[in-house]
Amino acid sequence: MKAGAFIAAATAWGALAAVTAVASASSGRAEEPAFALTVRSQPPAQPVVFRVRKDDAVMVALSSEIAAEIHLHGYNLEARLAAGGTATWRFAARATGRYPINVHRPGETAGHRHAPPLAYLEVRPR
Amino acid sequence: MSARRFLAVAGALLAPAPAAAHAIGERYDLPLPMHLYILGGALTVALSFAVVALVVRTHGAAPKFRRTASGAASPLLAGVADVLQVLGLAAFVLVIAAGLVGEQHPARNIAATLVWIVWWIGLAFTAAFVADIWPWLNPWRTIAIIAGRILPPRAARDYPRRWAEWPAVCGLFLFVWFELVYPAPSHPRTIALVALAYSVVTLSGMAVFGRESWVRRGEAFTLFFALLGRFAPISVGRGGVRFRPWAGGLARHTPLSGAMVAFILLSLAAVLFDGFLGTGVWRAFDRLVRDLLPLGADRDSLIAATLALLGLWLAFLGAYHLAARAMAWMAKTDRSGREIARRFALTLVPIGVGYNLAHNLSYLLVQGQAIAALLSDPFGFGWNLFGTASWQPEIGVIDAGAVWTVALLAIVGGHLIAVYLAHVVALRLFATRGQALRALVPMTVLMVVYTGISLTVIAEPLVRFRKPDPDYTRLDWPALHARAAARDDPAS
Repeated sequence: MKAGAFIAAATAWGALAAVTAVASASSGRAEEPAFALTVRSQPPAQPVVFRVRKDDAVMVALSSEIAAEIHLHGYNLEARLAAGGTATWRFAARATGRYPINVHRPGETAGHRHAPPLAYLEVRPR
Repeated sequence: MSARRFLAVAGALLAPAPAAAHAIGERYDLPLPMHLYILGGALTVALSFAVVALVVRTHGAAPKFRRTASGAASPLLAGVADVLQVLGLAAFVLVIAAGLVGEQHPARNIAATLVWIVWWIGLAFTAAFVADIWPWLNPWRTIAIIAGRILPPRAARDYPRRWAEWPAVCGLFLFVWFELVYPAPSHPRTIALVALAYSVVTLSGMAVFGRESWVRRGEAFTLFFALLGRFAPISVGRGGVRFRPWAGGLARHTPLSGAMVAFILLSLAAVLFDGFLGTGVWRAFDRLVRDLLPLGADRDSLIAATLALLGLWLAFLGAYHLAARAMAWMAKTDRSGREIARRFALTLVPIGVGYNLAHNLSYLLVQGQAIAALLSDPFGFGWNLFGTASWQPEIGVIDAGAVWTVALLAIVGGHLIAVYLAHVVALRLFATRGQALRALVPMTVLMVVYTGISLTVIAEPLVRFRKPDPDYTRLDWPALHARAAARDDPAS
């Protein structure tokens, strides 16, 4: 095969990339997704994943069966709950990324890696 | 394997990954989406052949890399060197002091951020994309230079030839183990103690064998940053500042030592290992080791992660030596596989550089900002030296879409440069073009595999979105409305 054919193939792939990128970047209006998250004495088998899009107005209703501090990293939202307590986070998902939501119990050592998070908030680009 | 165990492993492969992070600054990267992953893989394969078609068929001989000396005024260069030496030494003293006497929360002490983000990631970027300035920043070298001026001169022993670069290989392995396997790598006092222990080893090495001869073969970071520095367009040395094409420093076919080959493959495995710890393959392996060992024996995954790091390195090294043998066989040359391995090892470096950029770009840009606040209050004592102590990293500095584009370009681009370099070396090394082309087949296949692994680690194609577990996410609308009403009611 000639060099030209390879260049053509590479160009075709590039064009395909552009088309897919445009297609996946379909813009939509900001939504107002709402989630609930409950802390139980046993963590879930797999972390819970919440998916939103950038600029969505997000609400997370928190509740806990045990005394716990819940922390959404990156956005730096915290909630201190007593056993049976509730709290609500409302925020605009201004930055893309995958942010862990961790539960800190009293007496955890600083410097250690966190246990697997309770949940992730995934903010995807528009 | 029982059906239940199998399901558990399969489930682990499909689950979203808990990223293994330092306790300071976690990673907030979104994995590369599926269409970009597939595109990256296709580009990798297609462009590998395009390199063959364009470079090898059009160039009769190996292209030459030209270097130009800038003729930069050497007093200026000496001034820059002095400043960097003072900076490096000051940062070293700060890390030790903050680690030993500062507040022990990793995020409120400058030690962890300065070491893991500014130095280990930031300097790796600087070395690969600007110039390797570590020889000047290197605090141990600076201490040795000062000691050499004060203390009476003494005869250095000859560095044992058969040690080659093995001390540096051990050093890098232990360091990466501390970074990614040890459970508390960000604990300030631990960082200070590790730095002091490494100082004892390095200063002794320099005292016994002479400063430069230890730095060149025994000091892991000098070798690591120099390797990345060969990719950079600028090289600084005794001859002043020199400019060269990107990756020009890697287009060498003078044989390296076997230790250096092991070092290069360890560097590749090391940059990949952090990402690897976020994959389903790792979690399945971790679970397997946990199940095989007595209950609770591997609570922090120390055994599993040590085995995985060692295994990844040895697998990379083994695959490379195997490919080198295949190259010797394909080219029907009397050069041994071992010799070929030693002559081509440098061409692998761009793959590591590309992955490192893709993996760490947003991490450095977001979490690197923490240094502004920490400089104002390095010990966590509540100071505010520069008025920046309350600065919070802005998480929106770079959009995931931009990160994905850069990641794809970096990984595919690094691969392309690697394949190109391998062609250059092959054309210089083998007598005929046919030999070079045949020898390049196994090497190109190996590079495609390495790049495929990089893409897979960064994309996590096996991660599928699962509906949240209803036990943890049941939304109780009436209760919520009642709460909102109670909050809005001024009487309550």
